[in-house]
Amino acid sequence: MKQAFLAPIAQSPLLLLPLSALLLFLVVFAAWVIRTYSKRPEAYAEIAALPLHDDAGQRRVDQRTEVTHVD
Amino acid sequence: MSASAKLAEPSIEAASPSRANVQTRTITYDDQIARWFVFASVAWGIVAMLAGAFAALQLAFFKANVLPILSYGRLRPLHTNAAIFAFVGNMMFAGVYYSTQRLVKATLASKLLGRIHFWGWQGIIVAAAVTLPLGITQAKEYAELEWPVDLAIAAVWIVFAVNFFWTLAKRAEKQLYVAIWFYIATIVTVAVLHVVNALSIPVSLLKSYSVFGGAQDALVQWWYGHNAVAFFLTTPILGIMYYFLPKAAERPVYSYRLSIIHFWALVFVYIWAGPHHLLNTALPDWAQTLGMLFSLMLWAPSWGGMLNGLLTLRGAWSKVREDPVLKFFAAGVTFYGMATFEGPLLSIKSVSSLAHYTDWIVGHVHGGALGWNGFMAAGMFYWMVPRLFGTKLHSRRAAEIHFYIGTVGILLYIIAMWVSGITQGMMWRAVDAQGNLMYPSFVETLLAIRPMYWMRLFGGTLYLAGMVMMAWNLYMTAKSGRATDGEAEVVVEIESTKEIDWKRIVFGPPVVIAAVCLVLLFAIAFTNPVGTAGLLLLAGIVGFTGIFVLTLMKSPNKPTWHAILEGRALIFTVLTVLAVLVGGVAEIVPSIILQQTDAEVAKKTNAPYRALELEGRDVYIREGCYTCHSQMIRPFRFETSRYGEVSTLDDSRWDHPFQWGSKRTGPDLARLGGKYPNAWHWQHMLDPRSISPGSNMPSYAHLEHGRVDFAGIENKLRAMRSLGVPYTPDEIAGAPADAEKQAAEIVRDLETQGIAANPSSELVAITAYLQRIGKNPPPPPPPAAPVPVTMTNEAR
Repeated sequence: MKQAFLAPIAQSPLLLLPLSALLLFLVVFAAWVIRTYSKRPEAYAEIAALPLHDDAGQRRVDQRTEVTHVD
Repeated sequence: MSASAKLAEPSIEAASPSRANVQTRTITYDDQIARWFVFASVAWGIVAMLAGAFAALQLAFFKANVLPILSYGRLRPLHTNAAIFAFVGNMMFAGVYYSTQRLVKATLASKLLGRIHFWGWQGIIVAAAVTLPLGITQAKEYAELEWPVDLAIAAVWIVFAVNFFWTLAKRAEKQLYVAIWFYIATIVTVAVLHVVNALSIPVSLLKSYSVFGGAQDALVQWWYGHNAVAFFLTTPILGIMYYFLPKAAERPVYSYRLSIIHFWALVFVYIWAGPHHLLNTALPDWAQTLGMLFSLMLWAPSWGGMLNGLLTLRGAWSKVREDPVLKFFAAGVTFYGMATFEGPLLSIKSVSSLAHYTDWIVGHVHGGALGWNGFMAAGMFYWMVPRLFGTKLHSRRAAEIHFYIGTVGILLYIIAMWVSGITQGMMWRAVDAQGNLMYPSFVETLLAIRPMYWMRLFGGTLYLAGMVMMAWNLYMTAKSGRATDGEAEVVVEIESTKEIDWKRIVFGPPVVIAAVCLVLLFAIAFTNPVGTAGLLLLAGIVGFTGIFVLTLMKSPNKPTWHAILEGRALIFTVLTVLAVLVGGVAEIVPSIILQQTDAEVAKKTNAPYRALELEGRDVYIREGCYTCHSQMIRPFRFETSRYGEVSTLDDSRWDHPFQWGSKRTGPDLARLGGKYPNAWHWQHMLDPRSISPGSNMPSYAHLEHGRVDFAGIENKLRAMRSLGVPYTPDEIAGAPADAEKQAAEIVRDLETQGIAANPSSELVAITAYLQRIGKNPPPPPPPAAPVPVTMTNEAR
């Protein structure tokens, strides 16, 4: 396994760069996922439920803590 | 089926005594536009799949090429364009119009623009259905339509964009739900892709040449082609998934947080992956590596979205068993997962060396198109149409049957293509102990996969039968009800509250961290390998540390930066455009501005086509030869043994558009020039099987009677010159004479073989082109030494 990984790099050392870029992406992506998931899901519950209430605006709005706005 | 759509009189009243600045309104959505697009999608979907089934028949049974205007090379672009732009396009517009109005609590901004959009789009589809069979094409996959139709597409797209953003501006719901983000990304990105890729110089009303040539054109085309899949077939359908799947399952999306990651990662990464269509070609290695890497990165966001869709059904699997709508959605999302797993896999260079140009790619595409797009469309239609007509679905049982025969059809199709693709890929590369090709005749590899072509046809026909069943079911549903437009009570504030300063959003921590990382990564282009490693490390540290610090600084009582952004449509759109453009600029601009080989030097290694060859090339383009033949020999022993020297950038330097192709139903033609005599080509075009028994190539006998207009050749050379092809004014002026001269030479040669040919025949012109591909003509003889003037020769 180790040989299978090292042999292509020994043949073409520049291969390390794209592999590093891929690793970098995965690390940052994982960090981003952790960061996003550090927010409590309740913070998004209202917006996540938007499609379920689109024909019952009055009822839904009454349940909200804030009213909707016009830009 | 006329809708009784009218905006209800606003019933203005205070929502509560404590909120005097709030009022409620009853609005009626404009659902007529959604109804029209639904039925247009179903009708064009059947046409597209009928064309696909017929093209599949032609591959299995060459005699099905009954008419030149419906031969495979012309029918295949018609099939792909109809499937993408007519079937999925209309379906997407139906879903966008229906869901956007409801998600933003506003009726469509302009009915008129909606109608212009609908009829304009149908007009474009009709134009495609007429021009493509007539061979009026730019020969760029999924962008074949000629320049007047391209202009019409741009105009209609702008109408759609204006109506969409205007509706957002009128919205009563401040927060933009995730579906809307995907719609925004679709609208802005498709506009950019279409405009850049369609840039061309018109020669006449129905003929143009791409402003890009050779490798540049290849890169731009596959940047477009890949992202047509990404931003026309994927992002809008993801938006539709995020709206309709929760509606049908009656539960919110599994993870809204995941959808944030899904969206930004997808729109940022997707745009970079185009060059994976050009692996192992003459494209610069840096672009290939970039395309492969970003394709691998796509696994993460794609599967994030797929899991988010599937997990929305958690706890609702009993409903899936009973509800055909959820069945279609669950299977559609699963096919999305399969296709987005397979895509990055195929983008690995070594896998691509096996799969590229084979039917494996065709199977991959159809797994996505039939499974993801087709099933999401079916689920959406079965859910929407009963509501759009205030009734129940006519037959749930028919919808169930549609689901099962559709699924079997897809599986038969993609399994056939997997087997066919891997078989052919293995046969192309098979060598014996001495290193000789085991299957030197291309036809051998074609005969081996022919049973799979019949299996594909059967699978596709099953799928088509399901579509017809759906059309009947939806029609009966509509007939049993009455056009009904949705209504909703919305609450709006009369006076808008103070907004957060836009600078705090645009220069918010996530944007700054991302920008710093990107600057560091872009600096890689100007450094050496050691510096590259350092910059990569630094970018990683900045990104990781920034995210870590933000996590530490989070405050549970404050809205997140993203939540604030979701309330600001304009800023959201600008950031989306930036996220998308970064990839486009990084890939496309270097290839366009970097110094190519000097034109004069390139002219010596590969002279521009002579006039007749250029005419022949236009015939080649018109007949859609690129749909079956590549012109790109990859750097593999098994390719060079079969076809000749590896292709270079200079080979296609003057090709506007490039003709590298993407599929080999027939052999590669990059080094065809001079390989066979003129009489071989003549006979092969008239009756391919007389030369190559077992071939499935259609006969092109009609070219013998088609005539080339020598007088119009000058304009073509002039257009090419304006694109940088080094024709001299003398060459342009002498083009008709040169074309006639070359044609006469070919005709004379054919006569020695007992073939009588007309010099202005299109078959002569295409022979001239085929004899030229990959073969530089001998340099002109050096000028003769000056002859001394004597009395004798002066007298002469």
